[in-house]
Amino acid sequence: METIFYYTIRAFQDMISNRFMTLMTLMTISLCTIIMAASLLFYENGARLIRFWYGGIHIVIYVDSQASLADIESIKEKINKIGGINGISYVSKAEALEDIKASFPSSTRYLDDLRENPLPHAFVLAVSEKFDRDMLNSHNISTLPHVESIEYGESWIQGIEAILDLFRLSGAVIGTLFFIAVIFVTGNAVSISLYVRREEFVIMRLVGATERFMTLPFYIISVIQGVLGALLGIGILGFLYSIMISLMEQGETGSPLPDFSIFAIELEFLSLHALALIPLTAALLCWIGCFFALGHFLKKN
Amino acid sequence: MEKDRSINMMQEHPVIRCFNISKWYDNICALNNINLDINAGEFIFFTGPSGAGKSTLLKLLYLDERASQGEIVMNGMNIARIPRDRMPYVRRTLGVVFQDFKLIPTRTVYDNVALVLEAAGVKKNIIRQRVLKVLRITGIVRKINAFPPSLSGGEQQRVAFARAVVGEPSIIIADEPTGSLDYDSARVIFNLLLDYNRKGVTILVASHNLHLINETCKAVNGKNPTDGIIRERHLRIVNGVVTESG
Repeated sequence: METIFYYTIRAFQDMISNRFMTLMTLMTISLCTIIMAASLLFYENGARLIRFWYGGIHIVIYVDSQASLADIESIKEKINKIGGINGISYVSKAEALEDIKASFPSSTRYLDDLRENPLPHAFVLAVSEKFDRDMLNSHNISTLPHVESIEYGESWIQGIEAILDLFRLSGAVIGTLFFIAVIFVTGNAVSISLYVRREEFVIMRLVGATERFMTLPFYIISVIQGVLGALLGIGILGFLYSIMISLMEQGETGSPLPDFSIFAIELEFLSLHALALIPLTAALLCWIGCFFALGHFLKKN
Repeated sequence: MEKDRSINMMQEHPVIRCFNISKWYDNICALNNINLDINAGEFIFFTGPSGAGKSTLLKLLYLDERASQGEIVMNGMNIARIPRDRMPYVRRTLGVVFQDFKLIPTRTVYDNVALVLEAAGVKKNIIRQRVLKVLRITGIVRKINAFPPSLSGGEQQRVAFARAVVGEPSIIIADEPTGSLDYDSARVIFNLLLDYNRKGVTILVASHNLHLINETCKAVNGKNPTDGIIRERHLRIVNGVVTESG
């Protein structure tokens, strides 16, 4: 415990004595974090919007009128095994007819004259964004006995899936760039710091310091810089976000920003999950950058 | 008589033994097939012209360089073949003083000296006691919070000496410790070396300062061996070959 305390104190002393370098590294990490967190903010709100849209999508599986109760139960069991489904409701042909009557009260007379109910039984599935059409195909729902047809709302699903794919792709690209940038920045900062303090390393080595003793403060500094840089970045982004929200709230009084209320969701700042994950990821990336820089330096010296 | 007995005892207990040590830098031979025994408590001077190999030999002893050939046994351990990760533990048994002091400019005098003990994982309160003790011995305690660039050459070398002895080493290696000092400062350093030699520490010094070497030799030989000094030896290195002189 005393050792960790000692190394941490030394790390802080080193950061203070190399304050310009520390400040530059912090600012660069902050900038990377702002770019990454802003994309995440966009992604999270976009995902919420997509979830909202998905809430309105239903898939209907029609079952012919010859299906017995046992057949219907069997179909329901199969549907239950499909992932990405939020809810299943069964609408019998009689219920469907009653719904139509309720929807078109003026036509009730004609519907009553029908000798036989022409409507099929149906399962109405509410799907989530995890739903994929291939899931239905893989469970061979359409080939089940008594399943007449399936109505997908296909154009909606395809459109939303395309947007979701775009979100995922852009998230992956920006995330990867963030990863590379932070590793590169930290690695460079540590490398420069090592070359500046090369003589110090030589002296420490000559007086009997182990590599652990020499390198641990660098790892601690990297992790501290990662966390502080990320927190600073989140803080700046939060500040910019609050300005943006207050400008949007003044929308009616001539805000320069577009009216987002047409999307029918409230914009939200980063989730707690993301807020916790960003500094931890930055710390890990800085540690990796430091690891590579130290490895390279020790190999050469 | 007493002195001879001490020498015989000492010769039975070499702390450093070099067997056929050679060192090449590319095709240049810096040390050529050196065989040397250094006994506990000896005060050894290495002299010779620049480029003769004095510093190279000392570097092999404090593990700044590896021998190209041969074995070096120090305190029963072959340090010529020691794995890299074991080197720090061997270095902690040595105190090294350099011509250019090798102090960390961004750390105070206290921190520079404490570094040796911190690296060895010594407890903080013990570090404080030992650092203060050696700073008092070396007469630099009043500069405890100063940074090296603000000190004179002589003061910096005293700090470097304090750092070399704070770990209570059994061997002190000094590579041209007075090379960049005026006569008075150089004398202080030699006196400190003599003091530690009297306590039984083996001292190895590479130096050009023949005047101070002669003075030290006289001081060594003029004392009774029971004072602690066993023997002084003067080894001359020329073209990478060691010969015993005066």
